[in-house]
Formats: sequence, structure tokens, C-alpha cells
Amino acid sequence: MSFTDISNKYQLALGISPTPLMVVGHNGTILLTNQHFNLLFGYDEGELANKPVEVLVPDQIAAAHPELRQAFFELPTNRSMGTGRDLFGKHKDGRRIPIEIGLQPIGDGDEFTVLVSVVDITERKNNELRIRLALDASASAMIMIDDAGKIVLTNASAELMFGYDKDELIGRPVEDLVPERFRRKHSVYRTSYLNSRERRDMGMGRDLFGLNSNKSEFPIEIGLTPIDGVDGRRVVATINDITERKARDDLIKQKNIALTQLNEELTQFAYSASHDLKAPLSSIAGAMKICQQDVVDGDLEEVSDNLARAQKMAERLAQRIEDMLSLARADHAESDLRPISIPETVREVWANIGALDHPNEITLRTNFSHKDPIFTVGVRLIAILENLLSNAWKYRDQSKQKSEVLVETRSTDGNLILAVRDNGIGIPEDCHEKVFKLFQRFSDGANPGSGLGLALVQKNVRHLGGTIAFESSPDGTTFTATLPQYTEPVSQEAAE
Amino acid sequence: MTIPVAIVDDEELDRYIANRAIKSSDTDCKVVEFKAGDEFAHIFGDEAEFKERIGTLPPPLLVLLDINMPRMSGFEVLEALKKKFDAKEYRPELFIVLMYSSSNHAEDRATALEYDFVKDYIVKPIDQDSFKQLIEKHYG
Repeated sequence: MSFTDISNKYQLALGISPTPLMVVGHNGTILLTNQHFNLLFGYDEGELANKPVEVLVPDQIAAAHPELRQAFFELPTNRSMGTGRDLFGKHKDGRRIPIEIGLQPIGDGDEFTVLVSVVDITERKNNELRIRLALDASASAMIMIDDAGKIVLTNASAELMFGYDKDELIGRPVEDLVPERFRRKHSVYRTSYLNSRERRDMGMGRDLFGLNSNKSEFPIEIGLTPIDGVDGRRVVATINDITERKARDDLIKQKNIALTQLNEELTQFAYSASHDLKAPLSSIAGAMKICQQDVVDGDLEEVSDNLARAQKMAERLAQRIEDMLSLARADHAESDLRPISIPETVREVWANIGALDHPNEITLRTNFSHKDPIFTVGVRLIAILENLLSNAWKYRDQSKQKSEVLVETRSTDGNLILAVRDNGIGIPEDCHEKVFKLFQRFSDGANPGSGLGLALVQKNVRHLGGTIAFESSPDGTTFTATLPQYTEPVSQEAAE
Repeated sequence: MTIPVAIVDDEELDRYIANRAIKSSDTDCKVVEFKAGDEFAHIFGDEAEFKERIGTLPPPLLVLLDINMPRMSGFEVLEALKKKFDAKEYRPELFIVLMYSSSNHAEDRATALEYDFVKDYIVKPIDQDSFKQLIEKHYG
């Protein structure tokens, strides 16, 4: 069929069609184009005639195109071109135009030609791009899955959050993003969500975790939206990484606990001030009044006795105030860890509490088997030892032939264990839970303590990051402090 | 009529002051001292010891009960007494319990006076005049 024949046959039809159309001969020569086609590719009327169709093919593909074209002519069918791939035409000025192409064989035998219909999809591509840009602009990760749980769409935030390359997640099961231990449950939840299809948050208040490509977990929040689209049932998950928020929340929680504790201490302090600080003063006032009476009556011996009592009480009050201040100060001591000699510290503390003046009543034994160096805050360790050792001395069992206090140390995985064991009167069992509370005394000896010693011990142990426990029976008491030791000393200078 | 008085206080000086106030108050009292709350609570479980230390009631026993004591506080003693009264082991009308503390804390006062057998709340130190008034008020 000649060009003129074709022209005559199709010109009218091509001319009135709103679709850009072209007729191509089996050797790849352009036979006919309509006005819309010329407009789309930027050619004048008739300008394309007799040119090879490759003038309309982008340069990258132009070389391979004749072979593809050949294949089509050997087995012509009515189909669209380049299924599944993005197709482009080449404008006269060289720019690429996104298009869709339909191929329709016309005639038969060696003489058949092909009617090529072209759809300009520039606008559609631009829309897709706009949506893509909007999706990628979202700070939240967005992942769309199909009803089998396969990922069909992700945005840039999702790829960034989970550590995957662009489109690397497409086609994977969404469970790849779920930590191993939740996977089985997750697939069940996913299936039942498909049936309920309501917009809601995932997890119903449980903590949720994502799994990134490095197999590490991070806390997330997920909103679910069902979409009934053209391809069937889909679910879009909007995911936010809440690592930072969680860290902030945890910090606030910790601060709250600390504040509550401080508040409790303050309340207790105010309450105790009305008892423990006022009581000795009331007693002194009472004693003074009696002294006045006795002076009038001339009973000077009684006056002397009562002045001595009042003086003792005043001293005790001074000590109590001193203890309260050290307790308050315990929150603000230095925190530099330095190497300390435990045997030396124990010796010094023991000498200071006055027990050495009574060698017939009490002996100190030691059994040090810890590994040096020990790093700690000196003033805190001293405060701990001072209170534990002076308790051992103060609450010795005077019915026993001889009292004994044993200080033992050892090192276990990262901890210094410090135990102070005595054979004293012990702490009554029903008082055990109050042992570390403020202003708790368990003995009514002639020289009562402030009831602050063990609270002070506990506070210092806690500031050193450790714990303290005790066992007590009428045969004696053992306090055991566990103080963490760090292999890397905090300051290099201290290590030398 | 000799009024039995129990001073329950761990502080020796306070017991001495109370004793002196009672002695010089020109009242007929017999004082028994308890050095701790649990020591006082203990005699309620031992009839013979109660009789030996306190004697036979009536007249009602006047109890000067300190609040802040080691092991068993004054409030815990009140709770122990309440149990004895509820179990009808002792008759509450035979006890006039006076809370006796250096604390003027409203909360302490309220806690103490919740027990109907606590008849008064006295702030330390006590002297002969105030003790005399107490006797007149509760035994007059």
C-alpha cells in the first residue's frame, strides 16, 4: 500500500480524532500523523512523513528500538507498548515527554502497518510527583501494606527511619519491621485489623517497637488507616519514632520520683522538727524551771544534778542538728571517685568513734579480700563506716562477755561488697521495715541516738550507686553494702 | 484515794520532770515509770504483772503517754490499748490517757484525740500547777 493509499484511507479518521495518532509502516517509516500528534511532538504538518519512527524515540533507547520494533512486526498483536515501564517520546526540541503508547496492527501479510496511539501523561506524572513529594515531605514514616501484609508503598521517612534504601522495602512482608518476639502476634493482629477496618492507633496503649535494618529496636507510635483503593484493601500505617520523647518522659518520670521523695523528706523533716528538735528544748526548759524552784528552796545538790542533765540534753540536741545537717549535705557532696585504702579508712573511723577507749568491751576484726584499687567518694564511704561502726559499738550486747565487730570486704563482678557484722543486741524484727527511715530509734539506752544514722548510710550508699541490706537477730546484725566499681576510673589523675 | 499514774516516756529527763511536777502538786498519786511504749503495752498481756506494777483499779489509771518513742510509738500504744478495750479485756472507763508530747502539731493532736479514751493532749514540759489542774479536771 502506498503512502497515498494510506493517506486516503485514514486521513479523515486521523484528522478528527482527539488522540495523537500515527501510522507506521512495517519498515519503521512514519506514513501519517495527525494534527494532535504533530502538536505533541512539535512538528509541522507532513514534516514527519517518511522519517524513521526512531526520531520520536529518546536517544538512550533509539539504538535498541529497531530490534524491538522488528520483534513486534514478526508477531503483531493489539497491545500497549513497554508494559510496566515508564515510556518517553522525544519532542522535536529534544525534551522527553512521558507517554503511554497503544499499538494496533492494520492490514495483513507483509504489507501491514501499525496504528500508534499516544497519550500524553505529563500531567498525570506531575500529579504523581506532587503526591510523592508530599508523602516524602511528611516527618512521619508512612507504609502501605496490602491484605497479605506485603509492603506496597513507603515514603522517604519510612526508609530513613527503618534504614533501607529507596524502594528496598517494596514487596517485603511488613513483619520484617517488627521485632522477632512480636512477629507471630503481629500477623494475627494484622489479619483481624483487616476485618475491623477502623481508623485507630495501634497497640491500644502498649509500648510498640520497630526493628531497623541493623536489627536494633526503637520505640514507635503507629496510627492505622484503612484504604479501600482501586487495588483492593490496603492499610496505611503512619509511624513516629518516639525515642527522644520517651527519653524525655523517662527523665521527667525520674525527676518526679526524686521530687516526690524530696517532698516526703521535707514533710517528714517538718514533722520531725516538731518532735525531735523541739523535744530536747522542752526538756531543757522543764529542767530549768525545776532548777529555779530548787535554787529558791536552797537544794543546790538537785540544782547541780539537773543542770548536768540539761547540759547533756543540750549536747545531744547539738549532735542531732549536726546529724540532720550531714543528712542534708549528703545530697550535695563531691562526686569525684578517687582510690581509697579501705583498711586505713576503717582504722581511722574506728579510732574516731571512741570504741578504742574500751578494749575490754569490744574488738574490731577485719577480713579484707577485695581487689585494689577501690574507687569511691571518700566522705561518703567514711559516713557509711562511721554510722555502721558506731551503731555496732552503741548497740553492743552488754550481757555478752565481749562484743565484737567484723568488717569484711570482697570484690564480685564489678562490685565492692562491704559487710559490717556485730554480735550486738540486734534490731527487733517488727522494726525491720523502718530501719532506714528518718528519726527511727529502736533502743532505749541511756544515750539515745538521733535516729538518723542509717538514713544517712542509705543516702550515701545510694549516691554511690549502690544498695544496702541487713540481717538481724538477737545474736547480732550484719549490714552489707554493695558498691559498684567501675573498671575505667573517672579521672585519669586519680588512677595514677 | 491514791491515784495510780503511769509515765510512759523513753526520755529520762522528761520522766524526772513529770515526777517532780506530780510530787510537788500536792496530790495523792502513786507513780509507775515505763521507759518505752512496748514496756507499757506488755503489762496488758500479763495480769499478774499489771497487778504488781499498777495495782488494782479503780481509781482509774492516769497515763501520761509520750508520742515519740523507739520501737513502739505512743500512737502504736493507743492502737494496742484500743484492741484490749475492743476485746473487752480491760474497761476503758478505768483509764484516763493523756497524750504527753513536746509536739504541738495539729496532726498529732487530732490523731490522739480520735481515740475516745484519750482525754487530753498536753504539751511538754508539765509543771505542778498544770498537773494539779489535770487531776481536778479528770478526778474532781
